[in-house]
Amino acid sequence: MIALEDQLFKTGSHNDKGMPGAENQRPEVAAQKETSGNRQKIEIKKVNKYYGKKQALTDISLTIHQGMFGLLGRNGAGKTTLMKTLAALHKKQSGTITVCGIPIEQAKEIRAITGYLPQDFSMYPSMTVSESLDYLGVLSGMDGRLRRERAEMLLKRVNLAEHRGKKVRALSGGMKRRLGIAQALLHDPKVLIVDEPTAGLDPEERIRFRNLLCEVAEERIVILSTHIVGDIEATCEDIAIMNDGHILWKGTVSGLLGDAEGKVFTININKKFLAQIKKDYIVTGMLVQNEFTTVRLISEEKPEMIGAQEAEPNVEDAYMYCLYRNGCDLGGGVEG
Amino acid sequence: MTGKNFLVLYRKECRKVLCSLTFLLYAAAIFAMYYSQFHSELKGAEIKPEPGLSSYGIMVREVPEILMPCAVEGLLGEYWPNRYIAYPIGFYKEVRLTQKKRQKMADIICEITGLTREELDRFQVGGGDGSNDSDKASFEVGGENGIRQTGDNSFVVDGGGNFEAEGPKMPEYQFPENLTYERFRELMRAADDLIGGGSRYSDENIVHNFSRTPKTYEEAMEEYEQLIKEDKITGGYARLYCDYVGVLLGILPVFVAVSLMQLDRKARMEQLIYSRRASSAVIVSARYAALVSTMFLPVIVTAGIAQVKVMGFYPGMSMDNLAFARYSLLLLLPSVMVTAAVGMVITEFASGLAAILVQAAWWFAGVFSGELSGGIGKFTLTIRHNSLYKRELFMEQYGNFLFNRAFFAVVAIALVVLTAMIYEGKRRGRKIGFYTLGKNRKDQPAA
Amino acid sequence: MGFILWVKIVKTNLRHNFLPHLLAALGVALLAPVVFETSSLDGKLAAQPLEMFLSLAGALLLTPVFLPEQDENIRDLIRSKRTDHLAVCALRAVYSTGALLAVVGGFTLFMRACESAVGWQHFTGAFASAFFLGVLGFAGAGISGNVTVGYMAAMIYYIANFSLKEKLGNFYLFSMSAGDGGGKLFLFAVSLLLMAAVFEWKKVREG
Repeated sequence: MIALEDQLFKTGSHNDKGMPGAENQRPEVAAQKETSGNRQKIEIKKVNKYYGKKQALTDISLTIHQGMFGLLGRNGAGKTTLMKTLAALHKKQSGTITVCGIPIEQAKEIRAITGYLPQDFSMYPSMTVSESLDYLGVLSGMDGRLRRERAEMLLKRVNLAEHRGKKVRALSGGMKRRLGIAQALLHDPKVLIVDEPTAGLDPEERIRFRNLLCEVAEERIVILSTHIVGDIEATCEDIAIMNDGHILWKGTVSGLLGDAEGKVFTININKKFLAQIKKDYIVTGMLVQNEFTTVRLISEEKPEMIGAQEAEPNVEDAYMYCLYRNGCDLGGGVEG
Repeated sequence: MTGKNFLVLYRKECRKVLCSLTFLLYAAAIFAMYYSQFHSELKGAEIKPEPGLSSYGIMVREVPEILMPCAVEGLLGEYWPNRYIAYPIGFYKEVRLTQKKRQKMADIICEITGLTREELDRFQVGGGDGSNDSDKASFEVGGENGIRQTGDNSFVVDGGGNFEAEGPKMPEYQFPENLTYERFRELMRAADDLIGGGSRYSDENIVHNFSRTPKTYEEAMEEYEQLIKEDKITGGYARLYCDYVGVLLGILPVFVAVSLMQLDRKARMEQLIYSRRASSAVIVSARYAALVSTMFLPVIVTAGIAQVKVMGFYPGMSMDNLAFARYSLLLLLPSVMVTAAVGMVITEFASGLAAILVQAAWWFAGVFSGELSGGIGKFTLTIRHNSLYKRELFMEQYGNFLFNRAFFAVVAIALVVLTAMIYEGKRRGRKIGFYTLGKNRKDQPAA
Repeated sequence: MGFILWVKIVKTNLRHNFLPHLLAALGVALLAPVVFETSSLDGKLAAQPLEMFLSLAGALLLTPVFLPEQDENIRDLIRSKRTDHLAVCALRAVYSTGALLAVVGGFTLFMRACESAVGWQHFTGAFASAFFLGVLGFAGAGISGNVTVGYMAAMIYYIANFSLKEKLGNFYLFSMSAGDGGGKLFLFAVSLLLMAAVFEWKKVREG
C-alpha cells in the first residue's frame, strides 16, 4: 500500500497512461514532451502584462527548475499576476513562457500538467470533501478509478481522511487549505503553483503545510508565492524577489544571504533613542528588555554607535536589504 | 475529455441543480400550476354537448354581414372620443389621432357608412368616453371555467358588443350599395394604418374581434367530434396542458439557471475550476444539458400524470398515447431551452439580476400581448392555446408553430455557444462584461 | 451610536448597494405608461397599472436588503464590527420602503395628472400590494441566503395572483383592479409581521 501511495504521490508515467484524453493530445505536444531533456523547467522570457494602462509585470525573465521555487514580495508586488499567468489564467501582452516545453498559449495542455492553489478559494459548501475532489477530478479529465485512488491517497496525505464525509462548509481554515493542496495535486501535475498558501494558518498548520510542499517538490516544480519570509526560508533554495511588477533579485537563498553579509548589525540602546534609530536605519527586529532594547538593523556601514555588532543575516534581513538596496520605499517598517 | 467523463460531469451538474432551492421552488410551482389549473379542473366525457341548451358558447368565423356592422360600430365608438385601442408593439396602448389623421379617419367612415361629415359629427356631441373596454390589459393563466374555453376571456380587446350599452347612440346609416367587402377590408386596413398598426381593424384582428356568432348545438358537436376523432382526445388536452405550464416556462427556468451559474462565484470556486483541464465548451454544455434536462423532469412527470388521467376518462376509445409527450417536447422544451440559455449568458456576461430583469421583460411582453389561443407568431416566446378545441386554428398556424419552436431551440444553442465563449474569455483573464476575472482583488493592477 | 455615523452608513449603502435596484424600480415605473394606459381611467381601471405592474417595484427594492452580505466572508466581517449587522439591514429595509413609497406615490401623482381617478386609497392600496410582494422576496432571500430565491418567490407569487385570483382571499394583490380593494390593511400588517419574523429568525440563527 505504501508503495502504491508513493507511486501515486509522485509525478510519473501514470500521468500519461491514466489520464483519459492524454491520448488525444496534439502529436507535436506529445513529441515536445518526449524529446525533452530539459523539459522539467519553466522558462519565462521578457514577459510584460498590463491592466489597462497600468503595467503589472515588467520584463520578467526567470528560469524555474524542479524543486521548490519561492516568489517573495510585498502584497501587490505582482506575484499573483505572475502565478496566474503561469497557470494560463491570465494572458500576457508580450514575451514567451514555456512550461515543461509547452508554450503557455496552449492553455489546455498547460492546465493538464499544472495544479493551482489560489490564495482566496473555497468549494461548494454543500458538497463533502470527497465529492469536491471527485468533481474537480472529473474536470481534470480523470477516470473514476484513478479519481478515487488519488483522492483517497491525498486525503490521507493531508490528514483529511477522517473528514472525507464532512461538508466543506464545516471545515476550518486550515482544513480548507489542506483540501486545496489535495485538489491541486489530484491530477498529479508536473507543476504546482501555490499562491500565499500559509496565510491565515496557525504556526503548527503552517509548518505541516511547508513540509508537505517540500515533499511534493521532490519530483515536480513547485512555485510558492508568499510575502512571509519564513515560508521561503524553511522551504526554498531558489527564489526571486518581486516589487512593483519587476524582478528585483533572483538566485539562491544562500546568494541572497551572502549579499547581506556585513550589512546587518545589532545594538543595545536605551528606549529613548529608538525613534531616532528607526528614522536613520532599516530596523528588522527589536527585543524590548526593561529600559533597553536590542535592535537589529541594516546598514551599509557599521553604525557609529557604541556596542554595535555585526550579526549573521537571516533571510528576512537579506530580503529587507535587497529592497533597501533597490531603492524601495521601506517607510512602513518591517514587511512580512 | 472523453464521452464517459462528460456524462459523469453532466450527472454531477444535474445533482447540483436538483439540490438547489431554486429548482425545488421551480418544481413546486410547476406542480402547483398543473394541479390547480389543469388536474383539478379536468373534465372527461361530460364535456360532450347536450342538446337543448340555451348557449354553446361563441364561435369566431368570417361572416361579412356580421363583421361589417360590428366593426363600424367599434370604429365609431373609438372615433368620437378619439381614443383607439391598439397593440402596436405588443403592449396595450391607447392612440389619439392628430387633427389631420382624424380627418382622414372621418373620410374612411363616411365612405363606409355613406354619412356626410355633418351627420357624422352631429353624434360626436355627448359622445362616450370610450374607456369602457380598456379593462382587458391583463393576462389570464387559466380560462374562465378552467377547462372550458368560451373565447370571451381573451385579454386582447374583446368584441365591439360593449359599445351598445354605454357608448353614444349609433347614427342610422346604410352601407352604400357599391361598397364591396373587399373595399371594406381595404378601408379597415387604412384605418389601422392611421392608428399605427396593431388595432382591432388590422387584418390579424378584425375577424377575431368583430365576427363572432353564437355556436349552435351542431357546431358544438362538430367541435367535440373533432376532439375525439382528429385530436384523438389527448391531443386537445395536451395543448391545453402546455398552455398552462408554458406560461411558467417562459420565466422560471431563468432563476434556476442564474442560481447555477452564480454558484462558482458564490462558493469562490471559480479559480479552481478555471485551472482545470476541461474545456469551457465542456463545462458550459454539461451545465446547460443538466439545467434543461432536470427542468424538463417536472414537465414530463406532470404530462405523464395528465395523460393517464385523461385516458382514464375515455376507456376503450382510440387515443393518441404520446400526445402529451409530443406536445411537451415540441412546445415546452424550446421554452425551457431558451429561458435557461438567456439566464446563463446574461449571468456570465453581466449579473444574475440583469438576467432576471431581461427575461422578465421578455416574458411580460409575450404574455401581455399575445392572444389566449390562436395567434402563434413566428417569434413569440410563450405559445398560448387556452382551449381544449380549436384544433383547426392551431393546425392552420402549424407552420408558424414549428418555425417558432425550431427558431428558439437554435437561438438557445447559439446563446450556449456564446456563454462558452464568454466563459473561456474570462477564464483567460480577458475583460468581458461587467464582471471579469479581475474582479478578484488580488488581480487588480496593484497585485 | 451617533446620528452622524448612521447617516454615513446610509450614505455608503445608498451609493454602493442600493443604486442599481433603485434604477430597476424606476425603470418599472417608467415602463408602466408604455405597458398600460394611464390617462383618464376610472378608479378600477386606474388600479391596474398600480397593482399589476408597480407591485414589481416592491420586489425589486426589498428583495436585495440582505444582498451585500450574501457572501459569507463579507457577512462575517461585517458582523464582527461594533454596529449591529441586522440593524444596518433594518436601515436598508427602511430606506427601501421609503423609496417604494416614493415610487408608488410619484406614479399615483403622475396618473392623477393624467386625469385618472386615483386617490389616497389607490396610493395606499398599491403600496400595500407592492410592499407585500417585496417582503415575500425579502423573506425568500433572507431565509435562503440567496437573493435569486427571493426574486423567484416574489415572481411565483405574482404569477399565482393571475391564476388563482380571488381564491387568494385577503392575500390577493390585485383586489382594487378586481373590485372592492379590500384586504390591503391585512396585507400590510402581514408584511410587517413577516418582516419582523425574518429579522427575528436571522437574529436567532446568527446569534
